[in-house]
Amino acid sequence: MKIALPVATRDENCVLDNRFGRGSFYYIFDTENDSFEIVDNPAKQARGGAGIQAVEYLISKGIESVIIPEMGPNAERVLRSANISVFQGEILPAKVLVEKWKNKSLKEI
Amino acid sequence: MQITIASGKGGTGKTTIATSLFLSHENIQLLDADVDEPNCSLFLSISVKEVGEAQILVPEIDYTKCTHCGICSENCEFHSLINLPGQILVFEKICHGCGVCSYLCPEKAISEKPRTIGKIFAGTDKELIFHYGELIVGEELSTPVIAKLKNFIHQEKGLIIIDSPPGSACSMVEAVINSDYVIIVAEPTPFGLSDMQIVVETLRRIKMEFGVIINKDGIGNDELETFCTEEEIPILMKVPFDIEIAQKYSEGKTLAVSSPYWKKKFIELIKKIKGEINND
Repeated sequence: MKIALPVATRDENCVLDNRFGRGSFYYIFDTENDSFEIVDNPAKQARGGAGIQAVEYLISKGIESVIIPEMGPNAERVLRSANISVFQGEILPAKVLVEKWKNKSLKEI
Repeated sequence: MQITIASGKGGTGKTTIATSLFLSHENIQLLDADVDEPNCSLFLSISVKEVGEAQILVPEIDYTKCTHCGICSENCEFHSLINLPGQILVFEKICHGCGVCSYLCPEKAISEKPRTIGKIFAGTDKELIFHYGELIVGEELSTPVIAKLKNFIHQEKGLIIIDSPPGSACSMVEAVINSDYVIIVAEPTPFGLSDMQIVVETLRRIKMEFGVIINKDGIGNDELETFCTEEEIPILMKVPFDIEIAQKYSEGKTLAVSSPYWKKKFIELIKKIKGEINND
């Protein structure tokens, strides 16, 4: 199963970005093989509806859960409709957040 | 003659100029096309009533026919359709109403339904006709509201004044198009000049004739005036940065109403613009 979170930089010490739809990158963690990849957010420069496009992209990557700081109403509608679990994240390193998620200490929203 | 009042930067005085032109003439129509925040009515004592609605066509999915092929969402320029298992999410507020989804749907599963995004109001006072468009709160697309507003143009009026939204985007182009002349209202500051240059570039590209009114003259610097001289853009009028003008404005009295001197200036302004148009 794959979980995604928006991050500000493309390195392994990256920290959660406080924007979801317009974050620079997504940190995608795969529980199958305990590995991660960091991908560009294709919706970063969208003229409008960035949250919607970002979720559309994450769905195409097979994401089932996300850790995010906050979300707009459009992104929320797509996430809910696509049955993606949403967890509340603080501005912490992605590695730390994924550990917290594994330990079930992140709040589902 | 149809004249549109535009500006790059907001708050440079479009409404002051538009309402002043309106109130210094007797047989004239004013359209407030700044539909995101129409405010000409603050300076007029004309009661208005609703005369029309602006609508766009948005998609409606017939799930008995939809096969979730995804062609609609792949081709939507604005990502207002999302193909999810079991449903197509439609984001009506992001939809521009272009109709490409229903056009391309191979199953004919998408019909179009009208959605109201704005309203048109109108009122008269003797030979003065006033219309304005208003975008419904929460809506984002001002251009179709401006297009609808312009259907109410009374061609028989000798003079039609349109107060454009600020900036140089689609909504401004919609307000300006088909005008005989455009007045750019600009303030002589670096910010004012920079935004005006974008408007000048836009107007040149759509081949419009235009001139500039410098408002709040005396603040900033002379770069804007130098630019106009170098680019051979006529400066039609200068309105000084003056506390009395601001005070009257705050009481709902626009420039032409504040003194007979300014009323005369606005009558002369139309003559000057007619001269500019006939020169070419």
